[in-house]
Amino acid sequence: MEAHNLQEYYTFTKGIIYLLMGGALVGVTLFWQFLMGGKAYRDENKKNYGDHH
Amino acid sequence: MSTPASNGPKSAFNTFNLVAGAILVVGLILTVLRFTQGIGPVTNLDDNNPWGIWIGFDLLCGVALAAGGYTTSAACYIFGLKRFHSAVRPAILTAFLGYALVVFALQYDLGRPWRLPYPIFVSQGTTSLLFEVGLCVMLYLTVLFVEFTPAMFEWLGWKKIRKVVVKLTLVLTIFGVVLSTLHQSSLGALYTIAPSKLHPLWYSPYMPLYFFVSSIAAGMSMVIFEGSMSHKKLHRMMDEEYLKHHDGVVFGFGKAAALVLFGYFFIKTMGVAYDNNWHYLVSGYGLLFLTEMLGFVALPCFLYAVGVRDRNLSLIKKASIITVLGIVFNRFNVSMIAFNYHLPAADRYFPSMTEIGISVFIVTLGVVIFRFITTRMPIFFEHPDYKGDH
Repeated sequence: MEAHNLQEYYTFTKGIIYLLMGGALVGVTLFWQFLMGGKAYRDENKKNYGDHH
Repeated sequence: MSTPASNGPKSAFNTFNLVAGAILVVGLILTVLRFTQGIGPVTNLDDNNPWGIWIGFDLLCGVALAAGGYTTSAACYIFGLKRFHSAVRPAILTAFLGYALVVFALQYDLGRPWRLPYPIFVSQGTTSLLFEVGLCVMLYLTVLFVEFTPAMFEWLGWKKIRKVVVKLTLVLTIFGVVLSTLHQSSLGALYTIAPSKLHPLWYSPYMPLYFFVSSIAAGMSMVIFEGSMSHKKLHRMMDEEYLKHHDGVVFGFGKAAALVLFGYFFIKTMGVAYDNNWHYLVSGYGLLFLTEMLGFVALPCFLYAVGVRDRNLSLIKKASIITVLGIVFNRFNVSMIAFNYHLPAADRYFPSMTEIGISVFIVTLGVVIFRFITTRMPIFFEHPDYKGDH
């Protein structure tokens, strides 16, 4: 990308940052689900609620 | 049944003591050389590179890796996660020794140790970030010492003064968190003064934030790493209470470290986007940056997450080693490798054997003191007179 003035430069970089922020919001939600799932989560649920949860 | 404290090492002539003793003797000789010959003959420092491995490793890495003290005590006393209580004393001791050795190592760089109080008590440079770092480190080292003293007082049997200090725990923890936030970020802020010297991939106005956030991940990883090492080598000093909580501490800190590393990865990417530095990623320094980001941030983040999900202690411990190495790699990149990147190869800095030797001496000194204290004082076990008194 070639910026001819400061306005164009910031329009580009801020645009990219907004896109990254959107990606980060989706990413952190998925990562949170991944981190909180799995064997540890199942074991804890089983301990707290038994096999019928 | 004997208490863990009564089971000291059997012989003074074991492998650890012999190797550590040899390193300490060589270190003392190098110390004499440094303080009799001056800084020039024993280092590769020059006007282009006045800060070398003693700042890059001993100070920047030392402070970051000592961050386990404030993260653990904040988790336990401020956020109320009492299940981490067993990790507080080892983490505080590691942090206290880490900071004490940072100040000790600084003497090799500065020379003239008797001038140490000058910047704080005689001639303050109140507009300087270095003054702020110095003031914070002095205050935080004092706070860490006071936080550590209950273990010492229990060992000495000084019950009254211990009771007074224990009452100050919450206040000291708050002080510790505030002071750590200040100086961890200020160390990053120091490098914002050199935009033309530090490679654009590492230079960012957000560097204070990077240093602070990465110190949290480093501190938690260091607690896991140091806990695992101690678990292996100092198992005889640990009581049932400590051993019962060990796995829970590792899983809890692993989970938190995964989240912090995830956030750190994104804010570093924001930094590249903010300055539009994408084109540098396809250069040699870009490869170095990608190695740091993918190999030492994204990879341990993923390993931590998988380790926590699958209840895999071994994987979490591996991730903690990679994170610790990653922090060292990052601080080396900022302070040495990507610093003065435009200089010709002949003018680039590489530490002399003496500099490396003194750094190894200081790390060994830390390990020896840690071992000395943990085999005597109630760090990994509760003193019989104060069971459940926390």
